[in-house]
Amino acid sequence: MKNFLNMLSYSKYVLFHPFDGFYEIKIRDKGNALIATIFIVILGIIDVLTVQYAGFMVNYTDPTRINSLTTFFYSIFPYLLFVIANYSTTTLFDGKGRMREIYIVIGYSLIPVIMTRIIALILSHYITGDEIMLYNILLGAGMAWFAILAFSGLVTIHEYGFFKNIVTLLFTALAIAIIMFLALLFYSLIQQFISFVVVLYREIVFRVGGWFS
Amino acid sequence: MKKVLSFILVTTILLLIPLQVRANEYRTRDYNYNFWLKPVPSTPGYRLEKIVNVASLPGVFNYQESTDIHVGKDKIYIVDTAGSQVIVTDHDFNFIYRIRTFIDENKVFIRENGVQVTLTNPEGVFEAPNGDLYVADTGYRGGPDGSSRIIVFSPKTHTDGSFFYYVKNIIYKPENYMGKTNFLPSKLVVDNAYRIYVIVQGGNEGIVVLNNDGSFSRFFGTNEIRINPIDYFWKKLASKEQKQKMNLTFAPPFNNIDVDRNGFIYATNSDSSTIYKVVRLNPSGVNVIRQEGYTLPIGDIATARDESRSNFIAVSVNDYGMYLVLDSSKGKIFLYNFDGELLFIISGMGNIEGRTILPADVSWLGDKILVTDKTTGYVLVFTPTEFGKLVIGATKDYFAGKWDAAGEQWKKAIEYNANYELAYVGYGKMLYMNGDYKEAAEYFKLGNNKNYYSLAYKKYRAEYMQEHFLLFLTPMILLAGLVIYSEVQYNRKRG
Repeated sequence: MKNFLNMLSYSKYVLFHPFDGFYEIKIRDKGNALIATIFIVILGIIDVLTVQYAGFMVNYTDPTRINSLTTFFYSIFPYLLFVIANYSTTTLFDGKGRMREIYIVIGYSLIPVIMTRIIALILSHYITGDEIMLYNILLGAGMAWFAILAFSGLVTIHEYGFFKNIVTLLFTALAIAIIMFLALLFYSLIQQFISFVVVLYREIVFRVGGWFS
Repeated sequence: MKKVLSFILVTTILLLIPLQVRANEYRTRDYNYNFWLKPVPSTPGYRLEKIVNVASLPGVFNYQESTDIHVGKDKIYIVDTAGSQVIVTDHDFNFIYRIRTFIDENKVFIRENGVQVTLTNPEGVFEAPNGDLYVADTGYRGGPDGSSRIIVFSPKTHTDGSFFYYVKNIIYKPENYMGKTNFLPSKLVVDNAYRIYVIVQGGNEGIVVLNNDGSFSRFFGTNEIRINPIDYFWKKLASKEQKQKMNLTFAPPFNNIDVDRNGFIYATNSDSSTIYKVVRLNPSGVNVIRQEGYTLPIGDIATARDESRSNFIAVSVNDYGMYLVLDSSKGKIFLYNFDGELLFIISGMGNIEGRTILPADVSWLGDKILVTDKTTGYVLVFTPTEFGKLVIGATKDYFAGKWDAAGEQWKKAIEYNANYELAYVGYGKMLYMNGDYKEAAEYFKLGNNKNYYSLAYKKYRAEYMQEHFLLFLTPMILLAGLVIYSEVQYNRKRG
């Protein structure tokens, strides 16, 4: 337990010293996948809260169409997809990082996003139309911080140079596209299969019913 | 025993009779659009007051269809295109006169080659401010180049006491007319300076403006169209010769017109490529329609489930900037206020009472709404309900700058229809004007109006900050003190 708390407080160090921090995580095992999971889940919850409770000026959600579960999954899905896609490309590019480490990098890097979203959620109740710009800058700053952390984290754990990391990120994007394509293909295939089974079942019921009547 | 039995029997029978509670409004499925552009149930703003069967009015004969309708100062003019006549009634639909043949000032029939001259399939009619009646004699082809004409009738009381309309002037195709489309006037209006704004059939050049003497003045206002990016790309690449062979994109013609008190022209079109389905043209022909509503005034909002768009064929504006547009695809009348916010959706198509089969034109009659039905020849008169009266009254008062009167009516309107977002905004505006910014912001929030909410909340926030100045100042001073203190400490340590 104490170890866990130590690791949790270590994430604060990672925020401001990404290269050192992620290096320590990789070499001295100062990170924890559970903590990363906690951050990702918190992000999902914050997004659900934002959809429902954001201030009037920035909230365009139709209250009759809120679905917390889909919001939650849509908000964390891109990060998980990135982890898988990045792992599958970097293994081909001599990346030294393991999937667990990529996961930890992404999870820890989300801390600024979570913090800015919480602040923005509170502030959104006290802003007028002119200050929406500031609100968006705040959110953008969080995302930029996330990008810097994740980038330096990936550089560290894969033991890459700057340009090689950019190349692998481009290929990661390609991998994401391929995964999405396959997923959609699979989805429609399953759908067709299910409808086939349903039709078959109805046909059988119809025929069998015919014999006995 | 008998008593008990009969009691049971009677109670059972009584219980079996369905208890019907009916409001005295006829059952409707009225709706309006909310902030998320979803149709939400709405209290009806108008109900059918009566149906006028023009053909059965005493004095009317050979009546075939009701097309154009125009309400003048104290008369109503109904055009029967197929029957080539114009029926004049008063505001209560009491028959006054039937215009068909041409009569001169001395009540003598005008003859041409020995034949009485009559109207030929007129389509539009308008009463000028001096009471003269301008009729677009669309079916006539005897003008220069097979063009049509405009006939100016003037009312007169004969020495024998009979009332009649004589032909004051006939306007043929002007000699200096420039357009390529033939001069076939369909709808027209006359403004306060007696300029005639004419919509000619298929007029791509815009609205024709004639001086009062019938000479051509200019073309006025054209429809803006959405440009297809692919077409635009190929046209950019094409050479001059290729361009000449390509189809030209014309501005779609207008199909109906009205003029408001200040001389602004309202015109509709039913072309799918136009951006603005109804335009408000200022004197230089620029569209200045207000777009404060959730969408442009386009009528029904197409959704995935129902893709059909509204097809505007008529427009009528009153002195308070409220305009009605008639949709021919579903027979609905859309009532917009000056800002372009949708107030009511009235009527529809169908064989039920209060609906039209083939609507042709719409017009204001005071606060009432007149709709003509081409198929039956009826004129439907809609009158505001209690809720409608409140909304119309509030809109008028707001237009005239009476915030308080408007706000009170909006507040009552909320009680009739809690879905009506405009009412919340209207009441909020009154609170805002009276300086109650907190409440105003709350009502703007209920009315889903972010612009006004922003204004009200800003004021409220500033007020709150002023009142609780110390609350905000104290932490600031503390913070500044802390920073200074730590700086001092830090420097002292280093020596």
